[in-house]
Formats: sequence, C-alpha cells, structure tokens
Amino acid sequence: MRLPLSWLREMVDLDMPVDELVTLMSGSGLEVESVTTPGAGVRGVRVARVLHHEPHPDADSLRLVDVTGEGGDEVVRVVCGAANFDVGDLVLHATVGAELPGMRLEARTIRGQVSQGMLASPRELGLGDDHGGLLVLGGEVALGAALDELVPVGEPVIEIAVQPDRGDHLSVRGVARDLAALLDTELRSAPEAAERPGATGVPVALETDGVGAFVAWTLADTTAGPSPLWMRARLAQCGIRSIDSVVDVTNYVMLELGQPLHAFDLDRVAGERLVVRASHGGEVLTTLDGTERRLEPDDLVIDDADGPASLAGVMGGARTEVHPGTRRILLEGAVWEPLRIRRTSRRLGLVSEASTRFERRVDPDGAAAAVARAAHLLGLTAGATPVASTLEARSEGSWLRRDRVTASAARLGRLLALDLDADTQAGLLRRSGCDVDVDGDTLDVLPPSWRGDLERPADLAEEVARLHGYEHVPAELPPLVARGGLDAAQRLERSLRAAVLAHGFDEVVTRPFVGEQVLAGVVPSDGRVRLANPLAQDASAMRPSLLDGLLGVLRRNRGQGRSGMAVMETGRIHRPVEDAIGAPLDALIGTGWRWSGPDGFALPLQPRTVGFAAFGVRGGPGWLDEAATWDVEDVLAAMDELVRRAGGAPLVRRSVDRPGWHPGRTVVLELDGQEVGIAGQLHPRMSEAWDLPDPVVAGELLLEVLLAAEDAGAHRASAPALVRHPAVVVDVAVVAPETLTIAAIEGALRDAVGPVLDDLRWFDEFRGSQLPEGHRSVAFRLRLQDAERQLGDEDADSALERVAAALAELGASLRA
Amino acid sequence: MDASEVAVLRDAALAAFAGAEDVATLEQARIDHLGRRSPLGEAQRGLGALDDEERRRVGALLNGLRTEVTEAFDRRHGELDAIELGRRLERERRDLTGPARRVRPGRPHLLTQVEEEIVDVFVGMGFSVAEGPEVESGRFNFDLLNIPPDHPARGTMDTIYVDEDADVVLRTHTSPVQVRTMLTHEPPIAVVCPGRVYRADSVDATHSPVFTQVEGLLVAEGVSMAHLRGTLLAFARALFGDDREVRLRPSFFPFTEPSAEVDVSFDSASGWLEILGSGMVDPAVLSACGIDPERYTGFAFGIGVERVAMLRHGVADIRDLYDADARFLAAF
Repeated sequence: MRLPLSWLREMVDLDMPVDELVTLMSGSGLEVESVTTPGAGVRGVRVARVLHHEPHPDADSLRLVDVTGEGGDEVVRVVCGAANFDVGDLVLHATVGAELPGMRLEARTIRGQVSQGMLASPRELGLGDDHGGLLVLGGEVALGAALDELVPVGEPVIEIAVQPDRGDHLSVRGVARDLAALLDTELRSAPEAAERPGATGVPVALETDGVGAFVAWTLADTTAGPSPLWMRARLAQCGIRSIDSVVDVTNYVMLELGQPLHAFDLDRVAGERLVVRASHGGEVLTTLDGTERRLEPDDLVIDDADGPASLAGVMGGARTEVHPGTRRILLEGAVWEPLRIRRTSRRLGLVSEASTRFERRVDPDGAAAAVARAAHLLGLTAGATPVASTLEARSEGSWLRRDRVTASAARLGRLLALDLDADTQAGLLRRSGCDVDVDGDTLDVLPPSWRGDLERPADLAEEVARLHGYEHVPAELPPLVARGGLDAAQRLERSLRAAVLAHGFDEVVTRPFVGEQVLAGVVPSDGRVRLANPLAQDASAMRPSLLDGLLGVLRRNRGQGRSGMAVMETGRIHRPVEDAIGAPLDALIGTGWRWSGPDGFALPLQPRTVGFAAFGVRGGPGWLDEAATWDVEDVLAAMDELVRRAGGAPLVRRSVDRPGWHPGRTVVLELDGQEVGIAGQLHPRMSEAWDLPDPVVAGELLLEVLLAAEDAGAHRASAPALVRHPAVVVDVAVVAPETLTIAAIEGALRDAVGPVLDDLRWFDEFRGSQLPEGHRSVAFRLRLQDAERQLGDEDADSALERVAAALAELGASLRA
Repeated sequence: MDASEVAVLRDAALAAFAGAEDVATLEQARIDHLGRRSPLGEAQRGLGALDDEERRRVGALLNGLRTEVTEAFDRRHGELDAIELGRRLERERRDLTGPARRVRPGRPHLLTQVEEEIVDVFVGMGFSVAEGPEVESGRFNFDLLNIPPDHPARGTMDTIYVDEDADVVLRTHTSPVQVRTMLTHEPPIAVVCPGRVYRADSVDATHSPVFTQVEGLLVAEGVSMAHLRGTLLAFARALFGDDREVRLRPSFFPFTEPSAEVDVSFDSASGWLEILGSGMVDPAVLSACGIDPERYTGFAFGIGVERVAMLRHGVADIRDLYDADARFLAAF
C-alpha cells in the first residue's frame, strides 16, 4: 500500500520528519518497504490551454501546437508527438528552462520547427507510467499555475507491507487511524460525503450468504471526462492509472477508505435489478479485462435480468461496464466474505485491488460511507447527482460476528511482562477504537468494526503491547525448564562428520533436487519422490542418493580448472514408501527411522546418509605428498573410521557389478548380511558423462544405521590391556587363487592364530610365472603377543602350522 | 723421578690438549699422554720396581700428575664437544618462516559451522535438539500451526508439493518439528529444530529453493515475552558480539500472537538488521497440539542460518553456499 504523505496529513497531524515517521511505522506493525518521491525534480511545468494545432509540415507523427504562455495570455509554439488532445484542453507545458527528472529543457529545433519546451506525458512528470499521450487535465485550473504549486509532486510516498490480518491498513484512512492511535492523537473527521438519496433505488435480492453489506446508489446526469489534477496525482502516487473521472473516483475512494466500489452503467443493467447469488457452476462471464471466465459452484456472482453481470469482489463484467457515454451509474459498495473471494481469486489466478482488500476483510460498516463519499466526488468531477439508493441488510455468517472479548488484565500483563494495570490497558485499547468495560481485573472489549483481527485475549495482548511499545518489554532469561543438550546420536553425528573431514574430504551442502538420470548409490532403485510443481526439469524429484549432488560439485570445480577435489555431504535421501531401501533398515534398526503423518499416514522414506566423491590430485605443490591422487581406498578408509567411531563391527565388503560403477573396483558394504553402503570407482563412461577425468571415486553409507544404534544405547569403548611382554612378528606369504579375497584370507588367519594375534595387516601382493595359473601371492604381517607370558619361536611355529592347515582348506598355501 | 720431570710431562700433555682442534686429535693426545704406552703410563707401571719409600713418594707424584692431566683432558674434551655441537646446529639451520608442507584436512561447511554454533547457544540455555522429515504432512506443516487451507499465509509460503491430494509437501519451515514435539511431549518443552526447508523460489543472489532454519520453542508455565526477548538477546550477543542489542517490532505470523520481527544492532552504517521472526505461541497452536493454553504459555522463533552466515561472514550471494566452489569452501 502506497501512502502519499500529504494524504495522511489530511487525516492526522504528523509533526515529525519523514525518517522518524518511518521508524515509528516500522516499529508498530506498519512495516515500511520503501519511501519514494515520484516527480521529484520537476520544476517550471505550468498549466496551459491548447489554442491551435496543425500537422508538422515535415513529419507525419508530429504536431505543431500553440498553447497559452506563462501569464495565460501570450502564445507559445511547441512541437508535440502526442495526439490525445484537442483545442481547448488543459495540458502541462514544460517551458524553456524547466526541469524534468533527468533533463533540462531548452528551445530546440525539431525537423526545422522550433519548439519552446514540450508538452508532458504523465510519465515524464513522474505522475504515472502512462507515456501514450499528454496529461490532459479536467476541472478548473488557473492557466499558468505551476504544477508543483497545484499538487505536491515529489513529496514522500511511503509504501508499507500489509500484514494478512490487517486489511484495515489497505487504505490511507486506515493507516491514518492507526497512526492516530499510536500517537494518541485525533483522527480528523471523515472527508466530505453526499447526502443519502431516498431509498427508492434498484431492487437488490441477496440470495446467498457471504455478503457483509450491499449498498447501491443510482446517480444521474453523469458526464465522464478527465479527472482533476489533484486526483490524478494521488492515483499516480499510489500506482493506479487514470482512466476517466468515474472510474478514477471509485479507485480514489478505495485508496482513501479501503472500500472497493464498482460502477455499473445502469442503462446496460438488464431489467434494472440485481440478484446476488452463489454460482451453481458453469456460467460464463466476460470480465472487465476482456477475459471469458467460467464460474465454479460457490463463486459469488451478481446477476441482472440477463444473467451474470459481475464477479463479486474480484472483477466487474464487461457487459455492464461504464464507458465515456455513460449517463446513469449504479454505484455498488459491497463487502464480501474473505474466504470466498480468496478461493475464487486463487482459482482464477486473478488478483485485483478489490480482491486483495476483500481477502483481508473490509469493514462491513464502512460501505455506506464509502458510497456516499464517492457520490460526492462524482458530483465534483463528473457532474453526477444521486437520485436513489438501496441499502440491503447483510447476510449472516460467523465472519461477520463481532463478539465481545473478555480478558484478565493481570494475565495479559504477565504474558507481556509489562506492568500495566487494567485501566491503562483499557486506555490503550480505546485508542484503537475498542469499546472497553473494566470490572476489577477483567477487560470486556468490543473491537471496532474495522478490526477483524481482535478476537481473543492473545490478540488484545498484542494490541496492548503494540500501542504501549514493544521496546518496553524487558529482556530476561527464562528459568532452565528442562535438561537440554545433544542426545547420543546427535553427538555421534558431529563426531562422524569430524572423522570424515580428518580424512581430507571437504564438506559441501547441495540442493537436494535431481532430474531423471542419477548415479545409483546405496541400495539402488528406480523409486523417486517426485515434485508436483518442480522448479525446473532437472530438479523434478528429491534426491534418491547423495551422489548426484556431489558429482555435480566435482564437475563444477573441474570446470573451474581444479585438478582434484574430495567432498562429502551428510543429509537425507528420499525414496517412495515401498522402496527397497526400507528392508535393510527395518532389518537392522526396526521401523523407528520411518516418518509418518497424522493418523499414521506413511511419509516417503528419508533416511540420513553420508556421501563421498573425489577425483584427481590429492596433494599438489606445498602438500606433504605432492603426487598422491584420490583413490577408492580413501573412501573406504573414511568409512572404516566412521564405523569404528560409532563402535560398530567392521562392515563386510563384497565385490559388485552395478550400472555406472567400475565392475572390478566396486564393493558393497554389509552389516549382518544387509547392504548399508557402496564404495568404488565410477565406470569410465560415467566419469566421461560427468566431464570428469578417470578415476572418479565415490561412496555412500547409511548413516541412519549407525545413528539409530547409538540412540538405542551409547557405545562405550573399553580400555585395552597394554601388554608389556614383547611381541613376535611373523611375515607370511599366502599363495591363493585370485577368487579368494584378502578379506577371506584375513578371516582364516585370524581364526587360525587365535587370541595371541595382536595385529594383522596385508602389505604386498605379487603375481608371476612362478605361481600357479590364476593365483597370486599376498604377504601378511602377523604380530603375536600374550598378556600372560613372553612368546617364543615355538609359539610362532605352532601358529604357522595352524595357518597352513586353515589355508589348505581354502585351497591356498603358505609360500615357501 | 722428581718434581721437575713431572712438570715436564705435565706441560707437554697440557700443550698437546690445548693444541687439539678436534675430538680425534684430542683422543690421540690422550693416548700419547695418558695411555698405557705414554711416559706417564710407563712410569706408573715401573713403580713396582722401586723400594717402598720411593714407590710411595713417586706414586703420589704420578697420581697427582694423572689427576691433573685427566682433568685438563676432560675440560678440553668438553670444549671441543660444545664447538662441534655448535657447528652441527649451524649446519641444521632451516628457514621455517615459509608455509608448512601439510597433509590436507577437510573443512566443515560454513552452514554447518553456523548451524552448530546457533544450536549450541540454545543447548547452553537448556534446549534440546529435535529433528524431523523434510517431506512432511501438510497438516503438520500448516493446519496444526493455525494455517488452515485457504489461509493467506499459505499463499506467501510458496510451497513445493510432492502430492497435493495426499497433502504431502516439502516442509516450508521446521515448525512441523515443533508440532511433532508438542504432540509427543508434555511441557516443559525447550527444543531447537535445525534443518533444511523449501520454498518455490527460483535461484538468485538472495533466494534459494532450499535453505536452513533453526527454529526454537519453549513451552512451560509462566513463559513471558520478556523470556523471548532475553533468550534472543543472548543469542544475538553470542553470535554477533556482546555489544549488540535487539529490537522487537510487531509483525504477523499465523502461529504466534503477539508476533515480533527481531532486529539486531550492527554498526552505524547498517543500523538495525532484521534477523529472525518470533512471537508467543498462539493459543490455537497449543490447543491443536494437545497443550492446555490456559495453563501453559510459550514462545517460538525461527532463525535463517543462511542469513546469519551471510551477515556475519560477508557472503553476498546465497548461491555461493550451495555451489561448493573449492575456493569458497577453503575460506571457512
């Protein structure tokens, strides 16, 4: 809502600089979005009358125009490109030496003709966006008068954001009334209005609820023309285009009082009677904007004898529209139920100045005054005379009920932490127009008709605090009401993130939307949680895996010329309720990780995972190992550390061949036989599709499993025995078929050596012609130690015997 | 052997030690003057051939000589050790003023850092942390928060729908986590709800379809607006500095009444900057979530993590937070 300062000042005294006013408003629920000064810098523009015009001899689109000069008598010639005027019209002449925003006028020769200044369009004067012709004035204006003496061009116009519950702020008078309450000063009496004519007007039948008021006056002898300058200026300041004096008045009064008005051409109203009803659906109405609209059941519609004539509260109909020749006007001021108007407006995607106001509730008691005000102005600007009126009673409806609200002043005071007694609170509420009875601690409040938002004690509390000033609310820390803190899983999540970062992965946050093609991550499926109104084609669903977002990060950075990068992200992935990813989670941690809505309605699956992706050079100049590159083992090492920190058993790795992944360099990670992760190198074609150089490595792990386990019972590591007896170190080389994995050999070695095995790790792999076909040799270092005694060679020998026996069962052997 | 002969041996030994410039030469001098084959060694071994009285006299003389010469050797040895150590240290001199060669660690994302910092401020005040789903029921996201269908506030939230008929949405705030908490817990309740939220906004320098919130809720007996203000003042000072003040301005949110926008004081150039929305929990929300509004009151607030991060760290474009440029990641 835009508020010209002079208009506010007509209604309330504002003896303060504009910046102070802005601070007051923004601090009181009238949030100021901007202060502009349209037309600032306009100087030397005067009212002139067109005396004569003729075509420019050398330019078809130009006219030579003689207008009156500064004193109103001499004659000045200007060259003009507009054609929307005739001899006798009053126009605005920017004289030689005048200033318009961005220009200073001089006598100028245009196609051989000298132009003494120019005739100005509304836009050139900052009086609107209209640049299609000159600003032609209506009414009586002194010739030669300076524009800036006639209207306050360049004055501050304050634009506020109106809260959804404060429809009363959608008018100059509503804001002035609130300012008067805030400043505890008088709101000046209502602007001049016409006397109500006799109640012999057009018959109106209300055949529906949802009508808060319906007022219709008949005005005769109307002659629409240009609106007077003062009205045009204010409409322009408020961002409304001037049409003619009839339409302008309806808009002007809407801005002034907040009541949308509609003018029918009564001679076009069939049968000269109206019926207000709910649509039964299917009727067709062409609205003022020329669009044919199909009505739905429950839309509010105004009929004449020929059917729908106006879409109530949203937009009038074209068939009964006023036009330049209109003589008799039926001026309608009605108030409609907010919810009904909102539905119609939303459904049609049609938001008008009227619907915006009705949606936020228009004062049902204000319609009659607004029509009377408009009739007065139409008398001034269009010669109209009120001849008859119809006042229809409103329909019933809870949205119209105005109930008294009772509240305990002490309770309001406690809620606000303000020490205000009942009388003080009553005084504040009365400033807002409330009728308040005080009985001891009890406030009995009848809110004014324009405040639909004051319905409950909490609403009164806000009003009391707002008028008293939020700045008086003290600051006090609440007492500790609960034992706070992170729970075990939340602490673990932070710790796990730190563990991954320590492995060199940078954390990223990506937008969780994906297109159709994605790299499958942990427990792959085609299941997608699709969006009904996606923002883009490549963001049509929620991510089923973190990997797509991470690969996107690598690609963008590769595009920036980076030679390597490693990133990780933790977050939720999204799959349909029946997706395959549910089974392993249910098997491992029960169903507590699933989310449901009210009444147990199952929401899509959204488990938390951690994802990894890396490519290229790890080190680079200045790093300890300059040549190191990111490898799938970096992903596996980070995952191992995650699991170790979470206190879980090591994950079992199983080689897999999955679409998008390197068939020989990818493993799934399993816990109790359930897949909980994947790690590997991307298939070369997949790397290529992502514009990334081989090798690209990636992985994803179901964090939910680790976190849920932690939630179920915090993992506590126990202290190891620090054995003092020296260890015996034995290196063995195992010759095994290629199909026997290192994990399998390790398992066999562990079982065979037993509890004296303190540490075991593989350190070399060898293939060669000395070995049987399809075999390799893997070297392990075993560290044997016993808490009770010092081990000797005979212990090592006995361990090796057991190892040899175990390997033999697997088809492997110790290398001599 | 008499005193003058002893003096000759002593002078020769001391001169040899003094003349030794390194440990090896000194060691040779030690062998020459203190070793078994040295004149002193020979003389001491020859003591047995002397009679008792002579052996005692000469023995004492030679022992005195050995003690004196040994001390001289030790002294010189110490000197040469110190010199050689000094030379080694000089050889080992390194210039450590340049950048250190490193193992590259990863860094937590700025949003994570700021979110954890915000959460920890409230955890320090006794709040717990609650989380919830991002794909959420419309009833939890809207209806129970006093935003019925057709409420104008739904229009301002630009919702991304998963299934409009089944009433499944991408949550537009983390308030549904507050709802879930109230439905399952008795007051007193003190929770903060961090997480990602969604709006149907196109990506530009100040808008993102996904962003991060930390909302807070405190419901107990006797909670007042002063508690809201005190809590948010503590938050603002923890995040922005102890000299900050907060300003509350009347506003409208469907789920709070009274409602307040909260501004934090910055420098004189920026003045007050809006950082969050807050208010006293609307009684209708408490009732809808099964809490008696006659007995309990509460406050709620919602902090935009991106906004705090951008204000505090001078991030001009919200896209930088989600595009993960390595240079941006390395800065925090």
